[in-house]
Amino acid sequence: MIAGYLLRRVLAAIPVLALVLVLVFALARMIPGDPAAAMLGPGASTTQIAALRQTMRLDEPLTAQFTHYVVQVAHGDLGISLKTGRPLAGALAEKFPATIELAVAATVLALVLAIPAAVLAAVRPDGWIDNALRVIGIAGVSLPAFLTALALQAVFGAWLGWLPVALRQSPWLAQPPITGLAVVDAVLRGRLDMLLDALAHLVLPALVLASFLAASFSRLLRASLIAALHAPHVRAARARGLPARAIVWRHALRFAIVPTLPVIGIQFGDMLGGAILTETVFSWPGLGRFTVEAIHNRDYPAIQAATLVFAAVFIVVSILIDAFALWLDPRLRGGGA
Amino acid sequence: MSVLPNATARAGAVLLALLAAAAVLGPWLVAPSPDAVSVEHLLAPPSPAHWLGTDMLGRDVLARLVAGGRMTLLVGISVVAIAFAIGVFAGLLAGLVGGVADQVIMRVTDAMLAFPALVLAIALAAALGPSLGHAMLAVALGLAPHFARLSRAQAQSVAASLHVTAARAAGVPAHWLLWRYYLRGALPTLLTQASLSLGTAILQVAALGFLGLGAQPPLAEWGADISANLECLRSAPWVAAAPGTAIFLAVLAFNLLADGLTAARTRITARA
Amino acid sequence: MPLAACGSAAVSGRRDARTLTIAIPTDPAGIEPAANLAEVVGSEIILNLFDTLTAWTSDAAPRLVPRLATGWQILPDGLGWRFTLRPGVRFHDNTLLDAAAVRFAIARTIAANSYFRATMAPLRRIETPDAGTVVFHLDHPVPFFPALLAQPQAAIVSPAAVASLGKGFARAPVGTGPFRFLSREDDVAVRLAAFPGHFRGRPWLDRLDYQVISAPSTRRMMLENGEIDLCHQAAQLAALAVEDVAAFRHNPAVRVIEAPSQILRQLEFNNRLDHGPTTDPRVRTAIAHAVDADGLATRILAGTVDRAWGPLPGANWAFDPAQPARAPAYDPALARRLLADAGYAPGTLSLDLITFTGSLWTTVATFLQANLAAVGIGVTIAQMEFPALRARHTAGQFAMALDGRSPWFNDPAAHLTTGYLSTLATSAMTFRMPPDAALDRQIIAAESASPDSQRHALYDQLQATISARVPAVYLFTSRIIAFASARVQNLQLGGTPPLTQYWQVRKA
Repeated sequence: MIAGYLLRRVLAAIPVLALVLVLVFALARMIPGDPAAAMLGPGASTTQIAALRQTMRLDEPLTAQFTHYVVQVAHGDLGISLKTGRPLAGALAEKFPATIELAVAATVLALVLAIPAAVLAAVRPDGWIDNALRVIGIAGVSLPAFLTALALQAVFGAWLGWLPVALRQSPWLAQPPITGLAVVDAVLRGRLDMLLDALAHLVLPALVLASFLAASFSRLLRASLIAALHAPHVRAARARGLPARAIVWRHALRFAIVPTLPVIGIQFGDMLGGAILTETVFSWPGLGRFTVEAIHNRDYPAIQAATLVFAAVFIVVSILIDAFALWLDPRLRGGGA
Repeated sequence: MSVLPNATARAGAVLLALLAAAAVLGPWLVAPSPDAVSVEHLLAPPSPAHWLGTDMLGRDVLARLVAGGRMTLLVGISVVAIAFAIGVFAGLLAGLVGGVADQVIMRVTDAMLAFPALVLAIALAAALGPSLGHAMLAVALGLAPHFARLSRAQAQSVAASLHVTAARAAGVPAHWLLWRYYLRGALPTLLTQASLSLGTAILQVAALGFLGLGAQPPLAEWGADISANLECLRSAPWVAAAPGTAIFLAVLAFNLLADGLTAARTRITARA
Repeated sequence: MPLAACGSAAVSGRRDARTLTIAIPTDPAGIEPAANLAEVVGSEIILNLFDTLTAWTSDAAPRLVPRLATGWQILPDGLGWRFTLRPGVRFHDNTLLDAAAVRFAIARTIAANSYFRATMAPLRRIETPDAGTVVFHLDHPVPFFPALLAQPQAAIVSPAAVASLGKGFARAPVGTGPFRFLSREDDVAVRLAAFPGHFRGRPWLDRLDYQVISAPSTRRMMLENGEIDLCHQAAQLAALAVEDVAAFRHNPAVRVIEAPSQILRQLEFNNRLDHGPTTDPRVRTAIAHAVDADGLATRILAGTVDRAWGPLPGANWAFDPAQPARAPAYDPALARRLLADAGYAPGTLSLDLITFTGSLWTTVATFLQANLAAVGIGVTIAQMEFPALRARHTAGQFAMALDGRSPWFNDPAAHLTTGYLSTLATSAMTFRMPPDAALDRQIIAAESASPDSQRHALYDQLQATISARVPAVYLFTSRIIAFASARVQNLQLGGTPPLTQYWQVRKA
């Protein structure tokens, strides 16, 4: 049962999450010298430093500090930003939807690009389409994300003027957020102009993120698909005279995707990392840019909180992807054949 | 078994050899120094004196490109070497010893893989301060888990294989056995992973440089040089385009090599 | 492709004609007087949200004009000023402005803001004889005191709002300005809306939208695309505007608006350091001779900066024309000799240089590093954000800094008193001069003298005295440069300080 599997995966993820918490906790303590003094900067008075040391419980044994940190996080308290003095949980919640929207759009775009490419390559292995797509794929993963972002921005934004150059929506259309997802909000408000505006701003950054994912995913899917096309049940279907298209799309693809999914999971993590660079170039107000600003401001609690959220999102997404794989291929459930 | 059986791997290897030659021999072939500023020749277009022109401080672009290349290759190799050492050792330990050590090592690996690599690098750079050394450490830690996983899988299969059991029964010392069988099985996969990781390492160090968290001025590093020259992109595009193209070619070389090696191995195993 | 059509339509067609979208490079740090530490964008927002008693005009020869005060006179004994307030002025929360509010606001900002406290050092007490009169009593004569009240930090906040919002006031400030606070998203945008009840009349614009866009190339593309109306001058202060200026001059859809400023950039030494190589005047002089300041200003930063030679910038009325001759000339050979005299063989001296992030600072710092390397000094650059550098500076944790100073009122005292008075050394953006009663007396004397010709003579002497001690290597003053869409009208850039007021701005 999928529910049982999910439960087992969640339980298995707990020690990982615990280790993530340890790493994040350690990050702040890794700062050379007195972390509290470093965080407040040289202008801080001794009273301020002492106050922060007390809030961070720096004079208590490490285990007590860590327990307190875990309890805090469990209550949803991710600390206070040194720069704004406001709770980080709220600040991250504001930025989070922007990155998720970007990641989802990028994934959808990547699948839309990669699946047909892989199918075309797999049905005629070593043909010219296959080789061309292979070269494009390798080139795709060789480009640094920030270069792709700069290039797309310059060509489609500045030179051709087809798409907006940056931001998430045009400033004069800005309204207080409902869900925080620009596309969804526009639909909820029933405004076509806002919807098109949001989509127009989404295209370029999503494309940058999608390029890497699409390139590697299509390679994997192609290999997996070739193997699947030679599988016994597919050959049987062909012998029965089923049309080729049905064979590829209904039978082979479903099972070919499964082995590639764990890699998507890992690539999603890389994509979140790529979001950092993309959001910087496109001034996209998401988690990535928040993290970069936090670094520039030496806002350590914010860096910790952002890192934790990235890791947590990644863990959740990989569990969901594995569950999806299970749903696609029942053979993976239980003890196996 | 020919080492470079197919076109892709050969192309990658050739490109790599060219880049390596340029990096190693470059300083002797390119006269100007990468750090020499000259207010007389700012943003000069390519010319016989400066083959790729100069940047906004009058420094020779080609010289910085070559210096950056040496830096990049050195950094890439060091990073991957560190990741290789840590990862392979951890994986070997986990795969052979099993039990609690295996569980602990695997959980730690999963935890490190839970961070997008750039996030880990950025967080470490923030905690320890921006410098090339910290950036390298951070990227290495992000790459190590991949080696650990591969190494562990190989170690486990070797430990369980029949050859080994038979040889042990015959009294051959365990260490010698494992090294011999482990190496033969593990090395191709590990080397392919190393090649891929070199590409990733270069991309990540460049990204950190772009964000200002890696190499600090006046070090010539491709990523940092791109971000430093973005503002003169329109009047002097070659200044940012040169390091950008260089990053692309270097990573491409490693990826082609890795791709070719993987294809060769798949074909061998398919035929077997 | 329908998306493309909508992209362009969104960009040019159905725009809100009365919203001005301004691109700024970083999040403003403090948008109310008590929280503002001379950060440019925050200060400008304050001047649009609030009013000050006096204000500067934004034309070529700035004059001080009445704003919340209708007039002012110096007291008979010269130790103070009496201001008459304009009646009937209301805050955004509809409460009335009176003398008590002025006193509350000034006292509050002095208590909370160390920079304002430093500039208001001579203030002894504030009297409010009636609801329309405020009297400021001073320790010694300050001829330019009304100019001090034109600073953003002297803006008048609503006491009622402070009382009801408490610490939340900093996130939702209330003043009397032509625009009121609408909303704010950290690191994304600050939005202001028109205040119809403003005493000068409603502004033409409905909305002011400050958008945070950190990449200069992105700002430029957005301006050319019409996605933003104005690249704020703060963006060009930290970036390399040379190419943008050249490109925009040929673009009929974009106007380049420029003004000279008195914003000085210098390589300064920690003058309160008691150990280390920079305490030796020969080393400091050697460094001054090693820097090719002309090459930097006229070639690398061509057209976007003006050369500076001493503690007062060329645009200041008290600038001494003899100063350029006194400034150390570019002479690497002399530099090497001086270093040898001081006992430093080439390659044995290494120094740390702190500076801001931003491509302008990176470029200048790298250039200085190369200049000093050429005479055998190794420099390590550490870049950091504005608040971090200011904190290190105030705490004295540096030997050399590539720094800048923005005068907040147009008077030589803004440079020399606040910068070099040793009693103020650790308070704000100063040169950290060591205790020196004689120099301090000279500075105060020049500040309090009158008429202006007398002050000019005293300031000439002061410039010579100060520059002889080489407290810094004076590099250049940044020109104030903003890029505006050609549709924006009536935009006037302030020079000193470089803040824009948008009350009269229109869009075609």
